[in-house]
Amino acid sequence: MNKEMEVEKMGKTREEKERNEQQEEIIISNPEVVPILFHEKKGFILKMLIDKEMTIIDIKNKTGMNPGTIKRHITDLLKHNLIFISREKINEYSILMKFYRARAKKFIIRITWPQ
Amino acid sequence: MNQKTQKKTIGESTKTDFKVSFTMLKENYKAFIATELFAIVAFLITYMVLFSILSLIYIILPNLSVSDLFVSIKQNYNSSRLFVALITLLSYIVLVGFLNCQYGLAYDIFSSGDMFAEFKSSFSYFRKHWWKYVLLTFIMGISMFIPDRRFIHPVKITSITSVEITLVITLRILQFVLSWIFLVIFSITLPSVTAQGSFTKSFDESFKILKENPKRLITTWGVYFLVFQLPLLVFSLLTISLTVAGIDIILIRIMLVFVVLSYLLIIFIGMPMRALLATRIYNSLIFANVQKTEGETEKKEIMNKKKEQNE
Repeated sequence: MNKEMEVEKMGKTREEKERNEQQEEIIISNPEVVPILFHEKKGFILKMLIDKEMTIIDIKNKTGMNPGTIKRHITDLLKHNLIFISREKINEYSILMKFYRARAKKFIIRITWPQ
Repeated sequence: MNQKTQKKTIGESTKTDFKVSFTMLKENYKAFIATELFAIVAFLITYMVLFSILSLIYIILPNLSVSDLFVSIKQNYNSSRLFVALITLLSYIVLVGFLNCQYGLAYDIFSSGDMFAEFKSSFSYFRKHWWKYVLLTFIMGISMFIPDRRFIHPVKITSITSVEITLVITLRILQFVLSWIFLVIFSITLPSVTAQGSFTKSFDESFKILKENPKRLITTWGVYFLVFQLPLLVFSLLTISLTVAGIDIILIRIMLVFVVLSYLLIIFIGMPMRALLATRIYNSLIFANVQKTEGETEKKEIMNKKKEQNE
């Protein structure tokens, strides 16, 4: 019983770890996700998030894009599981900062048609 | 020595409160200004629409005519007064509800994790908290119900006695001091209600923070009042005094320009700053308390709980 719980716990931890860590590569087989990768701005943001974790304001400072637009792209990337919230930090001015990171360093597209 | 350090810390906290809030206002001024302008326009539209409806009622009802509303107001005094009060109240709810959505914008900046605010999120805060915002503003603004200039009849303003003018000035100053006291006591309720959603709990949190950090609240809101509210008090009192003394009309007009400028200062900088300052104080004290008692992990959990409650 204890062992089961332990295994379950370990499984959960591994799952959580996978959820919160950048993987080497991810295979994309969902055709809906492909246009997002090739979207000019979403792709650009994703590329930046592959290199390092960033907040929306970091992205804004680097690209000069409107934070509202960035937020919408980020929401879309989150929805399609291409990025994740890697960290939440409260800075010295008591402002909560959310850091985003790409799910993988490399995205491989593998689509068969017809499925 | 300890007292000196304490004073320095509070002074520094107030300085940081203003510095951070002003930086955030500069970076997000579009969202705040848009919310204020929308609130004003929505107020005017609501007032005009309701007034049109009221006029229509007066036209349709055979016993009444529109002139009853404007000319024969004395004959229908009670009904007219009731309708006008109702219209004003409904319009006021729209105005205050929307103006206080600035607390939602401040919440987006300080607590959402994204560090910026968008005008459109004001609508979701209005939908969620409008009645709480209106009630809390009513409680905070009770001192405004002290009659001041209403003591002076516009026609008789030049023939006012010195006792009356002293009374008006005293009441104005009393109103000013009381509104500062009410702000110190209840300022945290608005960011609290935005963060955790409960009306009654916002009072608990507000009183708890006031009990633990009275100096910080007194200093920050003291400085706020000196910067944003004092100019209006000074210029309006000067205008009243000059009018009563019958001094040069040009000087009075200049004073009136300063009164208008003071109002604009309050509306376009003072109000967003109030929302940002209150939210910043709330955040820093809540986080500091959590840090002191429970540590980093719990701090995140509390934030998540707050977010869930808010959603």
